[in-house]
Amino acid sequence: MASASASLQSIPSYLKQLPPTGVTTGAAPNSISFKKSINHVFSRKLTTTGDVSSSRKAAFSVKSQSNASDSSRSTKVHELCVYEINERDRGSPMYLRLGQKPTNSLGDLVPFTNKVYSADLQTRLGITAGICILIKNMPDVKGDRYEAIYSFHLGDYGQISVQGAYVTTEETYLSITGGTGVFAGAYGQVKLQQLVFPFKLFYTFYLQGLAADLPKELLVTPVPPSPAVEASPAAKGCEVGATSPNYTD
Amino acid sequence: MAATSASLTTTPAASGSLRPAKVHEFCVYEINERDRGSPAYLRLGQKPVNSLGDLVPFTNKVYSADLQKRLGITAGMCILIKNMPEKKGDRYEAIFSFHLGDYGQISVQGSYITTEDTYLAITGGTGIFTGAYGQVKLQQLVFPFKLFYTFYLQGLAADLPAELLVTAVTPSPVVEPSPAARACESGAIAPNYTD
Repeated sequence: MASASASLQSIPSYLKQLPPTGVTTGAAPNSISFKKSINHVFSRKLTTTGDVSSSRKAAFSVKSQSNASDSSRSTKVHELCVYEINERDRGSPMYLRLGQKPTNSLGDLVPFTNKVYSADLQTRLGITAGICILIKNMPDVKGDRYEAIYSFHLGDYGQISVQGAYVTTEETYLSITGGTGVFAGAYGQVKLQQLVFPFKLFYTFYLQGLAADLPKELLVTPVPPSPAVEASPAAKGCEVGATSPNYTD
Repeated sequence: MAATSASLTTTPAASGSLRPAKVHEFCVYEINERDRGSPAYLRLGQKPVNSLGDLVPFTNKVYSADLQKRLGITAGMCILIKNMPEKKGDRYEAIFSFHLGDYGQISVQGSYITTEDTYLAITGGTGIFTGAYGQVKLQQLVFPFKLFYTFYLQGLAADLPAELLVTAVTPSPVVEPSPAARACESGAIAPNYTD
């Protein structure tokens, strides 16, 4: 790993001549293709000088559906916010009281699936799907701790899988365990804020490992989270123009 | 956001998160030979049709892509999310691993839809798959007995061993493992294949 950082720090001189924005961030939308060409050149340089990942100098494989032209996993953080809303029309949640006690207890399992809307609540994106495992009932704070394992399925964009703590009385962070589509290679963490238990939640993803910047239609300005938020009627009705491509349902 | 200044001259602290992005394609067959008590359909939703609440633990056998070697097993659970009667199918959320003997395991999570191909996230791995990330394509050949997977593995420390990168038998509903692999004969099994 140390050799990787050493070779990264010795940026070839021809790259230093390029505008800093193109090299350092590639964040501006109009420099995305520029950034890709930079990384392609740069990664070729890394492999021929002894890529830390393998000792062989085999031709760098770019045949894949994810962008493999970077020779190492991107650490750039991409923030993405979404709303998860339970409209009580998916049979969810399904509280399986397998712990067989009068109060919530270890053994209880809660499969669930809710709708996901864009941060501005104007577009239906897809669904969440997964399971909460009751870990501990906390009567003193009138809440419960769950371990949650689930995914956000966002139509043609792909999915983001997560795992971590869901505590009904406070906000938590969960691990991003992976992704597909535009989220392929995703890692990082996501903040869960509960607005109305258990019907409305607001998520802020801090996604790393992505091959490219997220499409700007996902990066809309959020409606400030509050218990009163509602999806727009058009999004709720899944009307044309208020849904993402092949939104998951 | 501080990360926007995370330039290519990144500090040593961040270099530990630079995992190789080279994509390794790797295919396997998953076959249910109905001798592992799998799947166990737990109809906890308590409705006459498949419904949210139903849980399906499962474990099947895994063969190499050329169907000549028994590699190991899958193990995990499907969570019924939605019954789709109009498509005569179901959507599940699947959380499981591929245990491949001495090679290690690959863990995955994502959607399993009985009527179409899906992609799942690779959430991690052990052994030669340590550090794995990326996605895997699931193709169902015969529901729910035969499936073909194409892993797009990244984050690996080294190339996969040649014996795993065999030429795949073209996926179809009639594929079968070789008799030697099915019988776990020596020469037709991966080292300490998982069973």
